[in-house]
Amino acid sequence: MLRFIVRRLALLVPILLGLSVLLFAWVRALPGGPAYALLGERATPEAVAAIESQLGLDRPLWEQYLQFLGRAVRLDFGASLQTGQPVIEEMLRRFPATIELALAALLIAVCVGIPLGYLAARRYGTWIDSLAVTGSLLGVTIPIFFLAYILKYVFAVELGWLPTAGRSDPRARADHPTGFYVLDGIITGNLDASWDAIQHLILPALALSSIPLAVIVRITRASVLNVVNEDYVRTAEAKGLLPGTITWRHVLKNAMLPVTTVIGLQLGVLLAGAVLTETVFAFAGVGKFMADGIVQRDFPTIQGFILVIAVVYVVINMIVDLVYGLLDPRVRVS
Amino acid sequence: MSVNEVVAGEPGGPAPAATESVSSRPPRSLGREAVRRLFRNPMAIVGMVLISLFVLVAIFAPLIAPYSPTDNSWLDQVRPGQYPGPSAEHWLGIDPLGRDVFSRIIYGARQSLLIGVVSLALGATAGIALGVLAGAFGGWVDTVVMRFVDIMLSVPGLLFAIAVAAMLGQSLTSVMIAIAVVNVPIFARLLRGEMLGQRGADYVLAARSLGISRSAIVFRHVLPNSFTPVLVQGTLTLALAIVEAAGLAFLGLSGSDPSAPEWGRMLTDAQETLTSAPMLAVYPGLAIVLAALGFTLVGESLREALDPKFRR
Amino acid sequence: MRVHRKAGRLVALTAAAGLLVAACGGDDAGDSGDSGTGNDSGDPKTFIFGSSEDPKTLDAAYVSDGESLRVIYQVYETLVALEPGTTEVVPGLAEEWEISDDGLTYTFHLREGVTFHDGEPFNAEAVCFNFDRWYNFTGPQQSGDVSYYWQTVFGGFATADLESSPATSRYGSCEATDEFTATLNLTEPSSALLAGLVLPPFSIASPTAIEEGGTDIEQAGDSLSYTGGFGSEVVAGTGPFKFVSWERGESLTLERNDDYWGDAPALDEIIFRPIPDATARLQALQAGEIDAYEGVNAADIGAIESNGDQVVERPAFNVGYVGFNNKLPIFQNEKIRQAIAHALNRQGLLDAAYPEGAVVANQFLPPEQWGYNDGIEGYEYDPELAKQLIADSGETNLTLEFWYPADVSRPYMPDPQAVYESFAADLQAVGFTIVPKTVPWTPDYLQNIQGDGLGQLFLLGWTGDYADPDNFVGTFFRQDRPEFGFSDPTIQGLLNEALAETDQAAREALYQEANQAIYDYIPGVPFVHNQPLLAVAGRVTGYTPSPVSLEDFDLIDIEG
Repeated sequence: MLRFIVRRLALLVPILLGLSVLLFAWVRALPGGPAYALLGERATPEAVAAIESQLGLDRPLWEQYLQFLGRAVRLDFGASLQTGQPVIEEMLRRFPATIELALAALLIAVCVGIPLGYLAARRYGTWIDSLAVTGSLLGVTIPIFFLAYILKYVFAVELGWLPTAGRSDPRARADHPTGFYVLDGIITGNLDASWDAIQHLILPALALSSIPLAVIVRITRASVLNVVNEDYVRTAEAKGLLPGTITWRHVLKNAMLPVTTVIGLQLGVLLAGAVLTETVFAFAGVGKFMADGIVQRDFPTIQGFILVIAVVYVVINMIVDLVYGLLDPRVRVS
Repeated sequence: MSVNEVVAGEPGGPAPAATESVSSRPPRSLGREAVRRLFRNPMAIVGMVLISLFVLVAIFAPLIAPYSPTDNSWLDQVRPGQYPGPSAEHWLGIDPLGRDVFSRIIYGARQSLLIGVVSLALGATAGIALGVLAGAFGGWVDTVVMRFVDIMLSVPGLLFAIAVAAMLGQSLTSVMIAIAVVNVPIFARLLRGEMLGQRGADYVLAARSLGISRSAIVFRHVLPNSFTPVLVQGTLTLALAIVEAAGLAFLGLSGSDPSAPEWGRMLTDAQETLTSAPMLAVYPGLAIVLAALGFTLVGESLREALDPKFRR
Repeated sequence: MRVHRKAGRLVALTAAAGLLVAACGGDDAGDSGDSGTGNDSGDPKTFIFGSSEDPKTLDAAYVSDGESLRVIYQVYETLVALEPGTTEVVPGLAEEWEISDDGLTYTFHLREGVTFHDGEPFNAEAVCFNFDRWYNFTGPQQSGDVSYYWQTVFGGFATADLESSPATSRYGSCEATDEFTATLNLTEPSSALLAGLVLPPFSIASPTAIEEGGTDIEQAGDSLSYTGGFGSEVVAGTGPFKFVSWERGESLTLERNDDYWGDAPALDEIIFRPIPDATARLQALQAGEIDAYEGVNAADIGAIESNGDQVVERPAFNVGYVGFNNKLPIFQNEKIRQAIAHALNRQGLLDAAYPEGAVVANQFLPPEQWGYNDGIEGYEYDPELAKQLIADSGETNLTLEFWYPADVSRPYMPDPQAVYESFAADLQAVGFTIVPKTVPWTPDYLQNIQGDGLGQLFLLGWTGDYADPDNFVGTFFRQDRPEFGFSDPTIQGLLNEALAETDQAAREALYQEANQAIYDYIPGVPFVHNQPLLAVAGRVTGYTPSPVSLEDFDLIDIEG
């Protein structure tokens, strides 16, 4: 187990190195370059040259790369060109927001998706099945920002049930020691603030959950179908075990294996979706900030954030594999 | 096999049934049985109808559309927030720049189909090449290729696409390449996993014991038999490409000519008049959903039809 | 919104049941609403402005972007101020001033009894501290994007550290002659100095706060970082509102300055809430979450007004134009320039996509600006004439790249893409072949067009910083500019003569003559003087739109 973790973490090194080379190369391949990004409309050739020598951009590429790497190891990614704030501070501010949003979306997707997928499988071939499958597929095919606008229009503007934008009511001025607003409210004993944060989470999380929901419905349905045809389930049925026992002990537990893996893989989906969702809901997270960063040539931000996301991705996949091993004794994590 | 390869799912869309590549099962092909089951599935029928409609509209757009999609002759009928609705001359009304919405939707099918097909072709070709490389040679080639694929996968798809589009500049080509790039690691992983699964299959072992050369086994037997999931994935990818193009358009990355009708861009532009003319968003939105749904339904039904596990 | 609160909770609870059960178990009975301070009775008067992004910093000397300036304008004050809603210069922190005959010495008599938000007294030494600070900027502080307005109004610094730093400075020295008299010495006269000093970057801040907070700009990797605490943690001006807190990306809060020397503001607090997406701002206004936002789409006027909110128009102190890169051979053909001027259906575009107050422009400065030439009739929309002119021109290759910026909204051009599409269709109708080119506004568009002169046809415009014709036509045509790529001795001569002229009537006549010359040459086609729109909630009174986008929030009140 420990060896597995160590080995997987060691795997991070080549991935991160490769990624850092790619990122570095990509930034240099962009038209304009950092000096233009910095000077904006007031760039003259002289000013650009001055900035480039000031920033060491006139030195050999490998030297620049090593410098970048040396700083990155110390978590120093420079300052965001968008805000003038250190990238690491932007991370501490924005990752909690996106993680909170992604977890909420995942929660919705899991809580709705697994029962729905199970139901579809047990009613295989009926209209319930077709409806569940088609409905969840619809979630994949609706552009997420379009769905977000519709949700906002109905639940916020027309019905006035939920807020349209942001993470909290700005008048409340709650304390945020961790940056996870729901958690912060609990920590500081300000449950109103938690409730406020949850209200602000619901609509963006619903919009964001559409794709993971569809995936989870389908995977659950497929693996439940697989499992119910297995001999041991038939045996259990023949033995006259209670249907509830069969459902929980045999069907769902075994069917959950692939579902777990897929849930882990949703991270990329959620982050990509967050770019669009955060824009529409003015949710100050990672996605929108990075998308703007790419368009506005905010290189320090892009490099730092993508490296961190890659680490998170690898670690989450590792955790998923561990969970997988726990659920399925046949897969030995060695 | 490491658990890592258990699911060849991809960020951004439906993952194939997880169990597929775990089990080594007998080779299968697009048998008559599968086709029969496909045509008995109402979801597949609906999907095929949607796709046919989409493709026909795209091909015959000039015959169907009553006007040119860039003709702004009706600009004088437009006032801010007041856009003429459906009429006998303009079935879906007039857009904020004085153009016929119906004609734009019809012509938009072309661009969307083009984006879908080209990005699929590019992404699948590159992905298949990488997958074959890894799956056929194994060993250190496999390791290197798969680590590269891991790196690509560790960046969220949409961000990846934005990054590529930012580098290549604003054009239709860069949008297609951006979407294609996202699909490369997905196809690579899928095909490689499938090929690894086949390698242990009985017929391969049998062929090997008969002394058939390794390359002959790979290219004549393993590869063709591994293509079925790629086919399924391709159908689903086409759907996603259309939706992803819309997402990119929303972030300001789309073809350079805004006059050329494209659904994603029309949907994005319509957000600006969402309160005064919501239908302008609904038409392209619906078009995207239906086209993507068509491909997704067919892809999913195909997967089921081909999977013996679903036989009851 | 409040009526539905209970039902909202119910639905919300069911919608995300698991999440809520985990996080919110004990809160069901709580009736205190969703915010700590926002009680429904005895509300503090809170005005929430939906901005498009966070300010860069609240250190006034470092900014030139609208969102930063808006916040800074409420917290700080300048020596001379603007009469609200106009461009007229009126006393600010200086009650009166004298200008020496040679135009080199400005004596400011300061207001007495003013204190900074940190309790420090406002006096001549504080004024000179600020001027000396700006003049002595070093290194990255001299970067064009950091101290833009200082460089526009005063030129250079004590030392020229960057190659891009202006070599000379108009600034000589600042002397605290007595406690409430500050004397500003210039090295050369400048007719636009007072008009420039109203700009928020010339705000007088508390010297103690500046020193305590620190104002460093550090080079961090590839970028500059505002590492000083002044402007983010320590903020102290003399304005009607003082800084409370700033949660980046979420909200920035100001509260009333009870010790303000002028009339006490009616509002208790102001919150700036960044909402980048324009449609999202409209929805937030409709849902009652914000009280105002800028950059209203003309198409939304009906929806805003039917919701009981107001649409406020800023005076049209701007110009949008289709520029020609006149160094290209095709644009050196006068007939082609004329053909384009007659081919564009400018009124049609404005009717369809601009607010009612927008007018077709025929000159590169707005009618409100003195120096405008009332005698100019304007180019007629006449596609037939345009076709004729093209035929007469003898040009056969009619392919043109038409550049427009992506993803940006400017006061003169709320939707550049729509302007492009409309004009491209007009030009195609008379026989041109249009190749669209689009890149993001910053950094690419401005760099490509203004820096490298890559544009052929391009969309651009200008919003006046202060009321002087040189700020408009002087900016465009007094010197050679890469984007226009031409050098006309008549036009440049007139504009330089006008800038040097000290007699107001003679200056005005020269600018009118210059405008006629520009109109006759057609270096580009101005198409709009737009009235930028703001949406303001129905319960808000006293929002006074400013032609230069500097609005005093202390005039605002909230009813009910």
